[in-house]
Amino acid sequence: MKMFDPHIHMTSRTTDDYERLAAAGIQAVCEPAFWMGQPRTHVGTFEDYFLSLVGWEKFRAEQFGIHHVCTLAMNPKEANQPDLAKGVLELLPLYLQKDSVVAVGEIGLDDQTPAEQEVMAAQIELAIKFNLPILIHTPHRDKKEGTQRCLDIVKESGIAPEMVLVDHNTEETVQGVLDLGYYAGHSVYPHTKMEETRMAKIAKEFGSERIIVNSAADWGVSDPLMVPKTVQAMRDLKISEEEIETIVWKNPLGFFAQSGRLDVEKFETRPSFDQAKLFQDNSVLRGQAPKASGPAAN
Amino acid sequence: MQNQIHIQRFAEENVSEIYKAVRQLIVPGQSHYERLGIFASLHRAWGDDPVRATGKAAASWAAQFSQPFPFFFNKTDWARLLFLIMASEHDADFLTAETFDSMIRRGDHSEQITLAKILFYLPEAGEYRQTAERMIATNSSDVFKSLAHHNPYPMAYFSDLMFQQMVLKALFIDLPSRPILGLDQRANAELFRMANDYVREREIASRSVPRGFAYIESLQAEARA
Ligand SMILES: [Zn+2]
Repeated sequence: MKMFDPHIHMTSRTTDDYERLAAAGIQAVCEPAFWMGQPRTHVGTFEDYFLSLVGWEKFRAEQFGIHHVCTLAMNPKEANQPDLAKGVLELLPLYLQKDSVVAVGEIGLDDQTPAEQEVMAAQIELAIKFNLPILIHTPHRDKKEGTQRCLDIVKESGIAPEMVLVDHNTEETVQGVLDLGYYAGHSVYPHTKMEETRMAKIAKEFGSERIIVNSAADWGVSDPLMVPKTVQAMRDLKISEEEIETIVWKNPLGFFAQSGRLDVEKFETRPSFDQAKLFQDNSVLRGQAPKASGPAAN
Repeated sequence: MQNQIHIQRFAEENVSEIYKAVRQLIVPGQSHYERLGIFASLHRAWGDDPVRATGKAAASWAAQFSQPFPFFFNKTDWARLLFLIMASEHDADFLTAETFDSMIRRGDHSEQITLAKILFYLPEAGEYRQTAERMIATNSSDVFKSLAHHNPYPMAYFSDLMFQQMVLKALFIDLPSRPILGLDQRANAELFRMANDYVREREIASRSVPRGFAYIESLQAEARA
């Protein structure tokens, strides 16, 4: 079964992960811009990060037979520095136009400050202007109140509901998000309450329409194989193959295709690759024999 | 500006769909970064198909620029070239040496390749010489090739030293040297010495002669004759 992990921070992962993802059936990933564990303090570091998401990281993914798209935005954790926020907001109209950017995100609230709310609203406005979907990250602390505040900002923006993916849902929040017409994303983490078996139960209860599953794997304790593991857990619960495919392939593909920048037909097959190829004369290899995807690659 | 008028007239007559669409994109009140964003987006809009010219249009191009028609410009290159020309007509402060430098730094691979290809045809092209010379150091062989091959810019604007560095790098990364425009005029004793030294070094290390060397050798022979 083809799978799409719509939220995974591959910049923080190794080539072993890419190999395991490809072997487990992941054919496409979407990498949202996020924070690096500590706040960025200069506008210029955002630029180089954005450029790496549309450049080197995309190349690296394709070298393992995986399509790579990304979403760009300023993270709420970084929105509280006024000069930084202003600088990044000015730059986004440039970077949001790059070819493989398929949404604005992750955006949302963290401490729920007025500055965070302003930056979030401004970025939704940019998404509307550039016809891009948005990826919403709901707060971890004061979750109920914070999620409501996030959804209010989305609603006030007037963006079309089908252009909104709200992430990090649980069985408590999913119905509310679906009722608003949004896509409901679920980040499945190892050794937590939100493990793959619990996710499979949510799928069993709520069906496949606008339900999305991701690993949200990053530099922390996380598991890039959570999408394939959830597929197995859903099979164990006797959810039909058709419904599983909708959740792990058709939904994320259809959601990001709304950007008009994702070639659905191209994604149906793996990118042909040749590890002997270089990106700006840089290689993923360290002296190993290059692998290639077969006679199609050259 | 005569050159830019010619370019726009060519586009209006030969690729009118691109000409018209790009004209619509020039809107008052756009921010600097919005304009750079539009420049990036033109690859999505126009893709990689080549643009051909009729015999008559190609002849008039050659008469205007003393250069053959750039048959290797694709639709994206044309859209981007027209966009920069029209935007700088609309706003004289837009396209400066600083803007060009920022476009190279902020551009993705496809943008950098386009900029290298169209450089010669931009208004005030000589102003971008420093950035263009620095582009020789690019670690992308595609960007380097766009600058070095079939490109009249280095011959017209590069200093002797940087032109020589470009030729040496072409040898170094094993590109042919015949497509470097103006090499026959710019080649001098200094360049021959550097190229000969490099090839001798390789021979001592039992490594192959770079494929660009044969043409340089033929120029040397001509110069001696
Ligand atoms: Zn994330």
